Amino acid sequence: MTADSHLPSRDELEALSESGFALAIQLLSHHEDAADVVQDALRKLVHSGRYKAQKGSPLAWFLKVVRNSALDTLRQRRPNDDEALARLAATAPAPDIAVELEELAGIMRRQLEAMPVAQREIVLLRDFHDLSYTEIAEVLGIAPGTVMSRLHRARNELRKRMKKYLK
Amino acid sequence: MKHDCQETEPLISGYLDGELTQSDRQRVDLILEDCEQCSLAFAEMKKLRKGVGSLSFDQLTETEKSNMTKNATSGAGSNLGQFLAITGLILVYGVGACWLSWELITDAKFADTGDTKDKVPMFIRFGLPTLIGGVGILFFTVLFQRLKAAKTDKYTDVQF
Repeated sequence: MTADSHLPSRDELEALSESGFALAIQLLSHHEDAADVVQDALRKLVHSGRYKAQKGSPLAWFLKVVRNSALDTLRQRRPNDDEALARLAATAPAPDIAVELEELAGIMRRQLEAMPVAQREIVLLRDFHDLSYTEIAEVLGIAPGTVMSRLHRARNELRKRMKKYLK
Repeated sequence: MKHDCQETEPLISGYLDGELTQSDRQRVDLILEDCEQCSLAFAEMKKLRKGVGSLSFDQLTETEKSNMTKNATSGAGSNLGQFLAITGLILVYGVGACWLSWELITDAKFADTGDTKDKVPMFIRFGLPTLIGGVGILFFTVLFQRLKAAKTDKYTDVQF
């Protein structure tokens, strides 16, 4: 890529698609849907021509597009899909067996999936994607001052769900 | 340090993420030294944060990644092609249609030569320009609708 080009390089696009896919799969739990969402977001990124002309972080912009698109996909799904996820979460094994089987990560993933999307996404944006509070505010379209309290509420929810496994 | 755990708890998240001001950080340091409940919350949240950070999720295959990048960038070329085609069409159609309509309406050739063989029948003189005008209006209406739809696409408004 040339220095003055507004188009991202192939490596930059691949890095963005990896992060975007991670967020999409975390929200949608469906490989093809997540891939479609990322493909659309990449197209928007390339067509917008604003990759190098941005003020903030390109990753935050990209994740914002992925997130909005993933939420649209979630809305179009049948309402009982969320119930299916909740049922899936309820099938987590008992704590002692789980620890023995070293499935703590699996349990945490299921508990995250069972949480409301608004709480799940803020925890993942911070703890998995490692975004700053300013970037999280950009992705979620909220005031930066509200990120800390929202994140804390979401972490408390996860803490409550994982309480028996944290000892 | 005297404090209300409920009220100060959100600061624990900020502390964990290194997003507090120096004075708030010092305040949380003191709270964590004194308060068992806050200290437990901090320890558990730290553990959860580490756990979430090390989770693994389904990933894109190398082929999928490569295809996605290819599709996204090839789309940019087709967009440029679309832009050039529309611009060319507007120029050719706009200028050509106006010139042809003017020639027909004024029956320019007959006016020059005065030869009755060059005289254009009345229904063509006025019918063809009307047809050209109608098609032109339809084309531009659809084009403007498409442009308006593209502008109101909520994702294109996302700013960096």
